[in-house]
Amino acid sequence: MSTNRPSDLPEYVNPPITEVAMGIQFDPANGYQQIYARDLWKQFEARFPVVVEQPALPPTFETFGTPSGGNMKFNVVTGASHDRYWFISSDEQNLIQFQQDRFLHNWRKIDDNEHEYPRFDPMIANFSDEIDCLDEFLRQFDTEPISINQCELTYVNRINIDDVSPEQKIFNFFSLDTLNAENFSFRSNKEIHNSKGEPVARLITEISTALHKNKKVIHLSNIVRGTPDGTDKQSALDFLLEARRLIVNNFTDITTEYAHKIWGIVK
Amino acid sequence: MTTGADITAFSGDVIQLQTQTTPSVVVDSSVVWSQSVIDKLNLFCRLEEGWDGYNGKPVRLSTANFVIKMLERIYQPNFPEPQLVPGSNGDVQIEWHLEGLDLELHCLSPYNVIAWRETEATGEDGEEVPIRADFRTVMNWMNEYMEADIAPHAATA
Repeated sequence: MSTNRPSDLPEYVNPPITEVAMGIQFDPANGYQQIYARDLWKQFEARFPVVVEQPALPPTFETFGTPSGGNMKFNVVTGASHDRYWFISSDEQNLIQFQQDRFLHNWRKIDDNEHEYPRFDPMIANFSDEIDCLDEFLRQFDTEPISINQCELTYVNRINIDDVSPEQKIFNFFSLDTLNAENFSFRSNKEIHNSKGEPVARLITEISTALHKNKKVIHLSNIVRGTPDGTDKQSALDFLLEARRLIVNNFTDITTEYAHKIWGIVK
Repeated sequence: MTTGADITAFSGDVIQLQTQTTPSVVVDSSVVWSQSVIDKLNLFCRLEEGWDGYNGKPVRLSTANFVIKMLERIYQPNFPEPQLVPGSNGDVQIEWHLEGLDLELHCLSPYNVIAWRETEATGEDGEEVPIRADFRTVMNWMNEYMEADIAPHAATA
């Protein structure tokens, strides 16, 4: 798969990324039952030999109208319950998440000193192959090709406050010193529109303080979640490529030039 | 770290210093029909193949969940419970037939909705709008109806 990284997209030698997760949500295949998940794992077992069960993720849809969390929330229609499985690599860096309507690939930084971020382009190339594997598996239950209704890309950064001198700022829009707060959290949502001007996704930015190995750090997450133009795999990949562009640009826009130098901005 | 459905897989060695405020589940005590809608959608998902005497398919779970999200998005206090009708291709029709407004939302699949309304102003042909994720048009239709319905009462108050 050719990804052609945009030439004008900022790039960092040492970005503070600790996790990247890319995923799709799709229509469950008719006739599929949880007992068959073992057969899917067999396709990935060589690279992901460890299996862990997790609670299922509820369906998510990015819709637009009144602000969310308004007057009413419904319970989700769940039908039969299906666990979420994690297929984990031996070094624990990579994992595939699978349930009847979700499929994701996560990379996470396990050791601070080793295992550099593998970069988005190899990740999405692998994910493309993994979706093919999933589609082939599901075809035994449903002759229709996989129908993808939502995609999601998440970048999680961990910024060591000690890396930044007290006089300098990490974020363009506020200063930790000026804030002078014990802890803080921040969240923003931004509508993302397609070429027709229709809202189809959101860029969600979350910033909060946390403790990592007894040191105060800042977590910065950028999430793009929404519906691709079509229901096929290529539409999903196109969405994820665009999501990467939005996230990298947003990360660059909200952080300072001083912080960029620390992270080794190349362009 | 992320609110809502968290797809990240990293938790053990990081301690959040401040609990994220998550929206609490708020159920308006006057919304008595939410469970009724849930029950009907659950029923539609369990319909047998050929339920309509032909090739009728059960409503797809993803479509039912999207209907939930859609109703959550457009919900207006004092708007009555909609009628729900399963389609033969796993789709769902959500309808309100009120004095002065016929409003139908045909959910073919997630992010694939046809909204239609008939009012005195539109005439019998009505007005149809395809919708993916943006339900503001439907909300405007509902607000127009509510304001028109309220205005006569306000004039006599």
